Amino acid sequence: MSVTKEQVLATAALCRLDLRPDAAEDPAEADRRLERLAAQLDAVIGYMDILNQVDTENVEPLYSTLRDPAPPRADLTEKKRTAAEILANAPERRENFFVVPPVI
Amino acid sequence: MASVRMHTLTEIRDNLAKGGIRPSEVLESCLARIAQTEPRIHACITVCAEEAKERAAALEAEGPSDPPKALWGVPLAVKDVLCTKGIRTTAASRILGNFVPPYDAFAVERLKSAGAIIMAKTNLDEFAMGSSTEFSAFGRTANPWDTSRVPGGSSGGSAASVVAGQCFGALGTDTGGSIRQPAGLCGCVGIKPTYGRVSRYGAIAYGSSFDQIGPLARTVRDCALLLSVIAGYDPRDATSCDAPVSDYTAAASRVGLHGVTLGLPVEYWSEGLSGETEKVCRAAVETAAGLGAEIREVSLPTLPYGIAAYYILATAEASTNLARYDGMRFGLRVPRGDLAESYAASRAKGFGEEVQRRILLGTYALSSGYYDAYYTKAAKVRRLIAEEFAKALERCDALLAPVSPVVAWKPGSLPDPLSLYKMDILTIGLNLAGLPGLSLPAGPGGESGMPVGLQIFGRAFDEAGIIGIASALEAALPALGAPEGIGDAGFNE
Repeated sequence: MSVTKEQVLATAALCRLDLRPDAAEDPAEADRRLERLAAQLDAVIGYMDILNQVDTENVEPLYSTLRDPAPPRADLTEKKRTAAEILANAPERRENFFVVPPVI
Repeated sequence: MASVRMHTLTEIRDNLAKGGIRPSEVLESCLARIAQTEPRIHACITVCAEEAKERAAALEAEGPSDPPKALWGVPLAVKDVLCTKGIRTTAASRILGNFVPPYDAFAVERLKSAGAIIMAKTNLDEFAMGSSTEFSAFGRTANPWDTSRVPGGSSGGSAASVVAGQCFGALGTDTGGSIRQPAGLCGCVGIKPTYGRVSRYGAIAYGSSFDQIGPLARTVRDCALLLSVIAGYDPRDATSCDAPVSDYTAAASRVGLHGVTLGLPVEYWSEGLSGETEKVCRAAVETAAGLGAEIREVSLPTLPYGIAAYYILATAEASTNLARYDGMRFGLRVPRGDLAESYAASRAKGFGEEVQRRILLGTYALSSGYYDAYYTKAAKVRRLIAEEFAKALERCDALLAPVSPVVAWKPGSLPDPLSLYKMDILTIGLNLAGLPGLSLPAGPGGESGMPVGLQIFGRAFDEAGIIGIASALEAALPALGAPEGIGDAGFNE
């Protein structure tokens, strides 16, 4: 299989990445970059297909090597940090709120 | 001054504890060495000299407790992917370029409570995604043995700092080899503990089912001491294990390998090793046999598929972990149009090329239509690899393998991302299986003179076992000494 530029752009939309941030200034360079990215991803995804050589019939997937399931914690609230601490790294804030661009 | 930095962590710790030297003297020596070597090595993103000096003064005012704390007055460096309260923590990314955490990572808390001084935050491949410390938004780190070569990665800053004599030990993280491989390429000792051994609380996540924090230092005993301090249960990390912590420094006293069975997985020793790497590592196996170990060949037939499985699973986890960086609550924001456009613009500007590639790969593997073919399939292959390791370790006390197929390479010398990913072939198996591994300098390569590392893989939670084996081997293997000529002109080395 091969990964196309269109697929790369569709994937980028899913993970909120603008792959052509400078397209307005230099469209040719933006195209070359996308082309290169698609070729690199195609090579990597193409390589992944070797997994099909492994017989995994009746094998359960392993998502974590943890032997014991995570022990539950007591359901207690704790106030670890102040609003000021939480807001200290905010790019923009007003009173005790994060300020964000328009949502709708 | 040079005499101070040439000591091991354990020696300087002992000397500090008995009052032979003061914390501020040791710190000054380290800061001077940083000033002297940073222009060529660039191991650090942030040197927190002022905070460290205040801390040294405070420790001196208190004096050592009785008995003294395990790391009282010892200056250490920490990979810049572990949160440090009040000290910028960047993950070597523009997106976190100004991020100042309001809390310490668990491992950092442990170092501080043991009396250590956090002196520097070390360089890495952005978000720990890389094997060469070339992909940092803050510039690349150089190998102290030959500054035209990479130090390995992603904990390349930690390894280079330790080997250049800037600090007595450092913390790194290992997702696919990121402690063991730079330790191997720079010539120091590194331990990747069992998954769950050290709490990941406060470690900026890359692949959560793989990431593990561990020590790098110049000797096995020094690493054992650091591991004793950072190992343990922490309820704030749901994957932290409540397994008992052994006395790792006691394990580091082992002499001889009689009664020990060491396995050589044929897949690690077959093709792809450079001549000098194979020669040095085979000689190390001979040394182990000479110390009394029984050597036997074992096989991990699914291991050659490890690269593919790892790069699907780790990037899938990365794509979800890095979804949090949207420029809204912290980190870089690039305002553009509405909220969704601002997300995409902030992430495009904030993440480097390799991080973007891995996010795309992971998102692709998790997307509808490809999930079973890639993600589920990779997780099944992961189980086979983990079972093969477990089976081999039923017959052997530990397994031996080279750390990297080649010695440290020149930046930019690998033609494409896939070639770089394939360099991880000897380290990622252990992360897929969640087991502990130690990287030990095995001697200089015959052609390049660059360090070659040997890995020792152990059973789950048997860090003490691999530390013991490493300790016996360390005494018998050729010593590397210290690199020369990395200080700036005008400084007396």
